[in-house]
Amino acid sequence: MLVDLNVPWPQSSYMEKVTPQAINNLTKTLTTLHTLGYTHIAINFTVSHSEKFPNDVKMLNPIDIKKRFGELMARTGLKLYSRITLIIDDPSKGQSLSKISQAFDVVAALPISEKGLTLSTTNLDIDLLTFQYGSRLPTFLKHKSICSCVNRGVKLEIVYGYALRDVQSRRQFVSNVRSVIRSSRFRGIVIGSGAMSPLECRNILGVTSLIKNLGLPSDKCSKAMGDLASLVLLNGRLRNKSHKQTIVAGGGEEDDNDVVNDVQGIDDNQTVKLVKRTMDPEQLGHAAKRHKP
Amino acid sequence: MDRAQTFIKECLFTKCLEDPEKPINENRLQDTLLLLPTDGGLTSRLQKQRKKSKLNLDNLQNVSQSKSEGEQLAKENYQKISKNSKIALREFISSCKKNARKCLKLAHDNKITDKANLSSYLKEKHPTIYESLPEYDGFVPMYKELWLNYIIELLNITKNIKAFNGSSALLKLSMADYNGALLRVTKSKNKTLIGIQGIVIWDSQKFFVMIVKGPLVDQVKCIPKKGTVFQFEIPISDNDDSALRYSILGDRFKYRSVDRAGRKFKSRRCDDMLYYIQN
Repeated sequence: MLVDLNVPWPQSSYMEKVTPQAINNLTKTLTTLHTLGYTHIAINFTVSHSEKFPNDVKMLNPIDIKKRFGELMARTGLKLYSRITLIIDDPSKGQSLSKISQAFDVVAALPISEKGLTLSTTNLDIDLLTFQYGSRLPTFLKHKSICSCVNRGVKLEIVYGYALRDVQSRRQFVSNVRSVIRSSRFRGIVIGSGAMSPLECRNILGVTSLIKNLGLPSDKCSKAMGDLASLVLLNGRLRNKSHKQTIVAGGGEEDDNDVVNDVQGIDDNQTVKLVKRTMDPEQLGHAAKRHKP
Repeated sequence: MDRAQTFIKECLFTKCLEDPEKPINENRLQDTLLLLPTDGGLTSRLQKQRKKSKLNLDNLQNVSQSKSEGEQLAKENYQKISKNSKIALREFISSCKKNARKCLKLAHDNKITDKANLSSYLKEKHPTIYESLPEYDGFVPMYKELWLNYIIELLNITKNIKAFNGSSALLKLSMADYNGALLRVTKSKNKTLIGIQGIVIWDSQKFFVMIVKGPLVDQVKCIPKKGTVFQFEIPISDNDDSALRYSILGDRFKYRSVDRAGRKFKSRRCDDMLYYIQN
């Protein structure tokens, strides 16, 4: 599986309206990514941590994947997830994550101050830590804090879309990525596209050659877009669809029936999965023998 | 050569023994050294108990003390019982495995490919093996009548599935008892385990001990929880086929059912569960 965890949603706060043109553009980007071989894509809604969130849980997620992209998913077999990125400036103004994380599959943090970085590396219950690669990092990244965060299970994200824009952001991108790779000692890095338009999408070879030039070994590059990124999805999905990673709704013997791949089957509001009965105590105990006529 | 010995034989042994040639009588030895079978100290313990239970002034004064003594006795007994039951379970599992293997070998040697034929053959030729084989059909009521009713009552499943609260059901399921559940291995690091389905007869800390229905012999299998995902289904109504499906992540479930009941689970980093999403 090839995963892209960062396709921006054309909305930067709850107040803004989404235009059909922006949705159209996003669909084009998704289709391009699909042709490049991506199978799992997360749509990223970036919002400030201190903004006023709606009270109703159903209003929290503006993306509404099933209604807008259901047809695309059915046609291409793409798996779409919703992701929220919280821009963390002043930790004192923020609010609890538990309610927000119910509505999204993946929760990421984007610290823009030193305090925010300390908070998000130590306390916050997030899946992903990302930075604004187009501008200066909030502070010098220390190996100790970044690696303790990686050991906790939070992954670091590199967004390569910034390397394809203007000269200023490209320069910052190089130095920022170098410092992220250095401070993490190559551990727990995932790569997302951040593609605003179809032209900013790259396939795995293009991304690998770019990031390899910046100092990440090429095996880690392919892992960053495959295994580790899917672990982020697993972590995020298990938060909502299971009780503390013990019992999960859904499941099955077929390959696309685990909690990450099963996007449609599990009811979001009730977290149950209704199926036709397949297990019967009269069946034989082993699958190979069971399927024999 | 030994004059002293002839002297002993002639002068001393003739006076005190019937047969001076054989100073040590075999029968006499056996008489004195015969060992009687004991009952493991049961009678003496019972006598002691009877003495204690007799009501007199001494006893009345010692009532409070004897109570704590009784508790200690109960505790000791409990430890003994649990230890013995562990040994018995282990013996049961190993004997089942051994006998199943023997059975399969016998079936292979005699070219038997039918379950009924094999059981009749075993009944005739090897009654001891036949007696000690586990029987899957004997455990089916444990699933159908006990566990299903228990889990339906626990989750409070009614006909109206729209009013069902999924998240609280997940919480309850994480503390539920799985002895008697019908589980199936859906994902595993060990690919040969995938597809095994059976009724849990014991939910230990690191294993599910299951009884599995086979084409020839029913077998007891210990499936490790580590690196394995189990699936189970809860039927909603008897009429149609619909059911609720859940999975157990074995890696996060490595506790005995007793410890699990009051436990507060914690999410951990899930790098070890990559096998779950990889095909």
